[in-house]
Amino acid sequence: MRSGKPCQDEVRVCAVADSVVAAVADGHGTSKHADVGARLAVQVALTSLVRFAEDLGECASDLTQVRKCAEHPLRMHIVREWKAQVRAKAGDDESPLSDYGSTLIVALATPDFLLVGQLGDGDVLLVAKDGKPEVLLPADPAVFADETSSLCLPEAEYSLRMRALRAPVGETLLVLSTDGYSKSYPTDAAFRQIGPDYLNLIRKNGVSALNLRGFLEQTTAQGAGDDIGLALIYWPPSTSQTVAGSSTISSENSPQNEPNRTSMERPAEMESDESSSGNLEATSNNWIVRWIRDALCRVVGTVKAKAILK
Amino acid sequence: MRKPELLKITDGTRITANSLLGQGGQGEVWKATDGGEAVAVKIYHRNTSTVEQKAVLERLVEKGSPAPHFLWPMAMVKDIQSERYGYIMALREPNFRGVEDFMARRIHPSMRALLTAGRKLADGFLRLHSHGLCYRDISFTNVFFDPKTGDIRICDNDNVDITGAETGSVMGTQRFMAPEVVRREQAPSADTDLYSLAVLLFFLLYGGHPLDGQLEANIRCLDVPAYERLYGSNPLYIWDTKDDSNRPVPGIHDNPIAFRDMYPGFLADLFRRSFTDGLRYPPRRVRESEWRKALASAINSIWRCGCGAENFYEPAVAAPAGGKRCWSCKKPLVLPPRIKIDDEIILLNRTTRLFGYHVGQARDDDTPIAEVVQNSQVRNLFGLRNLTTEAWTLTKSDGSVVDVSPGRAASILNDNRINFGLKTGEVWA
Repeated sequence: MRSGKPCQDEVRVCAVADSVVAAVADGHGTSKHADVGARLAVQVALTSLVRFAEDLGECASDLTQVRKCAEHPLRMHIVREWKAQVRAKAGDDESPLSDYGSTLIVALATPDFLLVGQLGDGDVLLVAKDGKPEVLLPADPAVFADETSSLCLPEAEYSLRMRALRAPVGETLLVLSTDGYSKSYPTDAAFRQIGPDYLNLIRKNGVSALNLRGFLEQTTAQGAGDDIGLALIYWPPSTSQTVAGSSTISSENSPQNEPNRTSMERPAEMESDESSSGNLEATSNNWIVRWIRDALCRVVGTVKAKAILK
Repeated sequence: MRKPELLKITDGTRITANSLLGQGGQGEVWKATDGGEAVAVKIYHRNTSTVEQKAVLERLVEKGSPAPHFLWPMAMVKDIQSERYGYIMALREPNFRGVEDFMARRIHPSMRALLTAGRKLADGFLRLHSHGLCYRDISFTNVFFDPKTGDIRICDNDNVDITGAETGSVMGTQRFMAPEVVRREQAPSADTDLYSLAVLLFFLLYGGHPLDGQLEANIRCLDVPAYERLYGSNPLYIWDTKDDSNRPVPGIHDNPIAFRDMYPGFLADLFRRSFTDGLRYPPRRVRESEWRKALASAINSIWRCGCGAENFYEPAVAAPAGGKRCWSCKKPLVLPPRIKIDDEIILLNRTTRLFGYHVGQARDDDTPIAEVVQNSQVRNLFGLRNLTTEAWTLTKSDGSVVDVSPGRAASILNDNRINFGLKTGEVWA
């Protein structure tokens, strides 16, 4: 917000084994510790999603089972764990959760499926090679004007709407963003165009040339003046191209316009346990390049922008 | 996504696919037009278009819907381009909302609506089971209800199969699966449907899962074996009468705690039987007809307070000194007039309506046969308006007999007797 408060949006991504996970959260402007709530939300989400991918085992190829397991126990676990961590942080079981209220958007990409989840406002766009942006989760009827569903509400797990799809085939881009992004555009249709626009930019210049932070600061300054959190997951066009371009992508893995505060971390809970994190790859810049089963490559980027004070 | 080009397999009629409604693991569902009528069409993915699935669907189409609540496969279709098959079903109306909407507090149905939804679910599954079929996957995702009326729609009927058939691949949704199915000892059947139905009813009335208590709260990570123990090998009701180690935990399972003493004892007893004896011994599970009767009785006993809160009247339970108080405003409740039909006592609140099942009619639709109305001249005089097309007979307390024509109301006065045709009700006021 243009209020001088700390940035209340949080974004993180990580890659473990052959999965990539991303989380975006938007702490409520009216909550005293919204930045803490949002940070805990993405931490809990990433840790839970990584474990979920590991636990699925053979079920990963059965989309119906993935959806069912995402609805229970995954989403219940995310919400309950967030509440437990907030209470631990507050040091008081009676402390109101609403002081830490936050939305949450998550994505888990594996070779078998793409799982997305959303609690509260924000946007999840998928852009396939035809360039048409698809809104993956229908609007939450509880989101109206500035009201939104929140992690801090009772039975919040049932407001975390999940959707499982087959893993994208061909060039695809997934965009997760907090509502500060869409509110900066006059219409939903104008906002959704960011999906194809980002895809075109990646096609033209490569992923590392994206100056995400610059885009976002400009967008919010000219738009809603709200913080923005953004995460991208990119599936390159084809196996052969991907393989051929692998070193190039890897070598480009140091963006020229790196955000001054990176959001790229492994889940906090895993930092002390190298063995359980497998071959988790985390970098200090804002891009991750992962090879998956020697065939598919996913590039993930995140950035957040604090609204410019005016 | 490419729109399918749909043909009805039986007669080659063209069906127009209009918009994609959703897609999942089995296939995609399109909003479509069949001869000017809006319908839904499910088309299977190539890998789920099995010969077995097609045979199941053809059998379901041939059998026809067991009850109006089911969005049943009406006709087989195929996509001309891909040769994938699918089926036509009725389109779910927008006023029908998911149980998840209720759990997420996006809708706020009355207790009457929730109990009505439960009664209709029991009735629907009774009819399904009496056709020798089982549903296999009763859960949140397949059931929708109208939060105003409690009318229901049951979707995804392509998983329905003959009880005892082991060809189906659908085992259910873990939290709704009977323990013996979770343990992989049994395939889904009408008996295991009964367990799933009881879980769904528990969610509707208590806002939680009947086995989610302290043991579930102890599971702090995504521990698959722990959930298998909880729902499969070592299930324990949160209000088990002999073992209190799985009581609901304040702060986590607040809904069941809040609603524990809300409902009439006969309803709580059925849940207790479902999740104690019925957990381990399927023949002890509560039958659909038992649920239907108990839920209808609970609806009849809704005792509406002046503040709007719904309480329950139990004549067999002695009221505490000072009379029963409203659970919401805590004020003493004032008993409204009642009508006794056979052994059922129906409280005549201002919002009470009677349906066919109250008066012995077999029909089960959403059209009430009677409603409580207020006399426009005498404000404290209420009547029961005849909403049918046949006259009733009213025998007054003085012995005089008058007809109550359709649209007219019978006065709700003590000792009046109303003959509805098949049954007679006695008014207590």
